[in-house]
Order: sequence, then structure tokens, then C-alpha cells
Amino acid sequence: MAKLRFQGEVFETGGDTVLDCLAAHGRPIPSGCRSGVCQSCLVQVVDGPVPEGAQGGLDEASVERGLLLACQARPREDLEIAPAGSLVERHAVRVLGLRELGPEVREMKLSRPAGYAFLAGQFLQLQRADGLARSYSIASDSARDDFLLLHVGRVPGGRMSSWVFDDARPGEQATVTGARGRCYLPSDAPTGQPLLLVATGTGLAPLRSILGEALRRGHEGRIVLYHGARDAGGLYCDAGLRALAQAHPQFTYEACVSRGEAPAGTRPGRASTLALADLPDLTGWRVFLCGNPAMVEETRREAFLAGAASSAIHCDSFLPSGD
Amino acid sequence: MGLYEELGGAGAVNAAVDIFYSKVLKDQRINRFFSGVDMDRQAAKQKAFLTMAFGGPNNYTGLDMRKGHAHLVAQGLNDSHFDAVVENLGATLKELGVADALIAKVAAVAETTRNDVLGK
Repeated sequence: MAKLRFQGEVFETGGDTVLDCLAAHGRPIPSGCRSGVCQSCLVQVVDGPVPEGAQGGLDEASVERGLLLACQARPREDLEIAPAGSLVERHAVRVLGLRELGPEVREMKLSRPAGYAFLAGQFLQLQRADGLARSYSIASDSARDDFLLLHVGRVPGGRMSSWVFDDARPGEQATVTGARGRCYLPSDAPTGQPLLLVATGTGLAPLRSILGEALRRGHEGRIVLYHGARDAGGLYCDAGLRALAQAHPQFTYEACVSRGEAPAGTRPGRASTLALADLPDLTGWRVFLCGNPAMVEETRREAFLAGAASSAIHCDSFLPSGD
Repeated sequence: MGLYEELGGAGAVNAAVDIFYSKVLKDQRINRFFSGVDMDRQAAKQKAFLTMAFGGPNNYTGLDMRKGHAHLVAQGLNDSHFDAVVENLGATLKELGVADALIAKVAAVAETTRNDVLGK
């Protein structure tokens, strides 16, 4: 009979599901419908084969990470699991370079560990040698780049961003976690599907990666990117995005300035407001929203009510750290 | 054929989720109860609710329903709100072309959860 290993203890499963086995041994985990639909009982594989049917309905990135529905997982071979999200694989990286992208944004180039996989749009957690950790989206191209690029915005009083802007040097060591997040371009996204990308500040980083991936796949559908900054100085990828728009007729770049003066070529207003006004019907669109949490939550709701399917709206809120 | 199969099983649930959720978010009587921050988790719960209401596989206990909705009851969730949810469920199925007789059966299944949901 298959054994289940969980947080240092070993249980005989007796043919039960992971959920029932843990409950029977006095180690219950959260659950809901117990029918494979509500995803309240997610756990993560540490060792052993994924039981058949245990990943039904989970998205690509979750499947890749080895997440399982405990209520559906019926191990036939020994299996070790951990609470979902508790497993942190860390990889050693080196700082390869740093450069200014704009007055408030720096690009940090890190070495890419052998075999490090990520989907365009995902993020990692960067941990400094002294343990300070922050999450940053990966802006580089998974298929083409043998390095990792992060866009770091200067945060007033920010401990990590101060290090990136003032003290970090090429050659320094750090670690990164495996790639995380559900704001990515799925492998099976149709290339004819219109894409709406809305970002504030360095929320542009994951969208830059997604844009690159879509173009690499030969995406023929419309791709519209709205980048919002408080002033024109915050449009830190302006030249590069204009060049891409020139080179790819299906791609449109809208530079939005919410407070400062909007110079020629930019539009006054908030990126999300302009996007929703320009595109009142998002039926059939795939929508990516990254950056300011209030913008992301509000725009997600509006995009849904404008007709985008809930499964086609991908969000990444850039929440400030507490420490 | 059971109710769930007659409605179209998981496919029917998938077709209904966004329509139902959209109606609920636009319904001023009840949208405040659904305005949780995490729309992902909300969508999963809607799916589970619809699966149950369609007579599909579900193992929620009465206690699950009570515990899950207790914080909403504390915010004033009552019969009128439950009625509004069932009304939106019916409107969703009507939009999907489901026959009235089947809609009535779905409403009846939903009705069996009223007391648990409202903590009565």
C-alpha cells in the first residue's frame, strides 16, 4: 500500500485520497467541495509521481510546480507532499550587470541557473546574501536569453531598491526562487486572440516579457499595450516599445501620463481608464494587468464586466513589502 | 439521466460561471457580498456552487456551508439576498437556453442549502 509522507510524518494511505488520509490521521488540511472544483485543498508534490487525475482544472504553471488537489489525489505509489507554496527552491545567481532604464528604474541582469524555466510574465523572489528578499517580475525572454532581467523601481526608503540603485555590483552573489505567478501567456493561447496589456510603473516588466513571447510565437491578433506613469520620465521603455510598434503592425503602444505634462506622443490620463474607454467590448480578449494593486483589482473587474472571460484575465499586483 | 448530465455536466458549469458571476457583480442587492479581493478564488467558489446546484459531484457538508458564510451573515446576509442569488442563477440558465422545468429543479437543489448558508 502506498505511503504518504507529510511534514516529517508517514501514513499508510490504504487506498484513500490524500485529503481523507490526512484527516484520518488527525492532520486535516483545509478543504471545501471535496469534489475537485473549488481548489481549497491544494498541496504540493515533494517526491513521488503525481497521482492520476490529481491536477484536473489546474493551470499550466500550477501543474508545472507540482500542485495537487488533495481531494482527488489517490496515491498508488509512495508520495511526499507539503502545503502548497511552502516549497521554496532556491538557485544561486550572480549579478552580471546593472543599467539605468529611466530616472526611477534600473535593470538588473542576473545569471540564469542551468535548467531554470519560466513562463513569460512570471516572477521570482530575489534574496540578498543577508536574507533580505523581494519579488520581481522576469523581463527577459525565456527561449532566447541565458540571463535573467529584472526591472527594479526605486522605492523611497526601499531597502532592496536602494541596494540595487546604490550598492549592488557585478559579481555579487544572491539567490532566486523558482518562477511563480499566474500572470503568464499560456502555451495554448491562440495566436489570433487579441491581447490587452495594461501596466503601471515597473508592472511593465512582465508584460514586456509576454509581449516578446507573443511576437516570437508569431502572434497575428492585435496586441495593445498601455503603459502608465505619473510623468513622462516614468515611461522607461518608451523608445524600445515605439520601435517594436513600428516593426510589428499588429502591436500598438499607448504611453499614458497620469499627472505630469503629457508630451507629444503620449496621452494624458490613467492607463487603465484609457484602455477601458478605447476598448469597451473585451469579449474574446486576453487581458494582462500588472502593477498598482488598486489599478489591477479595479481593472480586472471592469475587464470582466466588459466581456473578457474570467479565465482570460491575468493579474499581477505589485504589493509593497512590510519589512 | 441525472440532472447534472441533462444540463450538460462540467461543460454547462463552465458556460454558466462567467455569466452568473457577471450578473451577481452587477446586482446591487448582493454585489457587496461578492466584492472580495481575490477574484480567482471567487471564480473557483462560483464553479463549486454551480456544480452543486446543477446536481453535480459535491461533498460540501451543512457545516461547511455554515462556516463558509458565517462572516457574510454577520454582515447582514439574509433571505432576500439568498433569493436574489437564486434569481440570478435562474436568469443565467435561461440565457443559456435551459428549459424552465430544469431551471426549477436547479432552484430546488439550491434551496436545500438556504438554512445552512444563512446559519439558521
